[in-house]
Amino acid sequence: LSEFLTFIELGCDHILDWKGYDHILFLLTLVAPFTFRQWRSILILVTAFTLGHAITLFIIGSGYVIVSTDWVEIAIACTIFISALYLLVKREFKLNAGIYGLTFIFGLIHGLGFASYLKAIMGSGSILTPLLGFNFGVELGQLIFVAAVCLLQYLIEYLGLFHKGAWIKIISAVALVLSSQMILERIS
Amino acid sequence: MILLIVISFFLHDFHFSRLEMNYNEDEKILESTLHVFIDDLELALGQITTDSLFLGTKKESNLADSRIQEYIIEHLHLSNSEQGDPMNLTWVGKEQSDDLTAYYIHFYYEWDGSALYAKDRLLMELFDDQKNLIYLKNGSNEKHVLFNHRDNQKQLW
Repeated sequence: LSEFLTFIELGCDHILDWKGYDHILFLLTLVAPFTFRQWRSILILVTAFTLGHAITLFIIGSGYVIVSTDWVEIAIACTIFISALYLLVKREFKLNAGIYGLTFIFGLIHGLGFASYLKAIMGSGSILTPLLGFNFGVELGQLIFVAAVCLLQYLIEYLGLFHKGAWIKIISAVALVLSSQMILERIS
Repeated sequence: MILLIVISFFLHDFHFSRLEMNYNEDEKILESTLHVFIDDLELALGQITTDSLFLGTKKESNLADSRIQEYIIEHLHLSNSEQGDPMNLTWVGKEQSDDLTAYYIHFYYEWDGSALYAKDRLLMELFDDQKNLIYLKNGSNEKHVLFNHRDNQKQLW
């Protein structure tokens, strides 16, 4: 069990590390349009994203795929940019198969982003415990972050700090600026 | 193997090292490989020596190996009791790769599978978020132990 916990800790810390904020920024754009009461929508979207990156994490961890860190990092920044743009221009947020599918694909891309870290933590020993533990840790970290954002959004709504529309526009603007900066940095 | 794209140089935004140890019962050696980011190691050595080492480059100094060895001896201790003296380590060699560089070291120790302790402070003087993982294999048994700033001394086995 201590083995498993070691890799859970590595996965959870990695996702919540502020220096790797691209994953949590994407999650923020995913959760921002919904209220606390729409937890089912949040759950479905986050599950689609999780399913996507869990699949690529396992494929990478098993060593069958080699990815270019540079291109993956650019693609991740693009997923955030697209989500932020969608948030900015959309007036109503209705979930449909297209949104789920896109979130799943974006999840696949984000999973590739863990390649360099996975490569570093996985040595010559058995891969099952590290891989399962790391993946579980990533999911746990995500869950903690999404729960914190939901709580924050509930408080904002409850205290009337922001109109929901304004909150969404703030998040989308911040995500647009940061993702544009990421794209430019990663291309150059 | 499915090959998506193979290129890229490696940038890391995390601070991590991995020590893999395997007990060779015939030779009575804990054969170890330390995987560490060479740019982090250069930064660490830059704090304790005025020599320009140019690690991993064609200009790498002749002093590099001895400086690295001194650094490892200072920051990585292995002992058979909690307050025990650190075991002597022997430098075997190194292998450059595109990401983590491998340094091969041996601990000559006749191990009967009893308790082993480690103190791993590698690169922790540089980075608050440094994490060091030790993987120890003895026959078919294996163990992973994680070290960080708060917790850099642990029982390995």
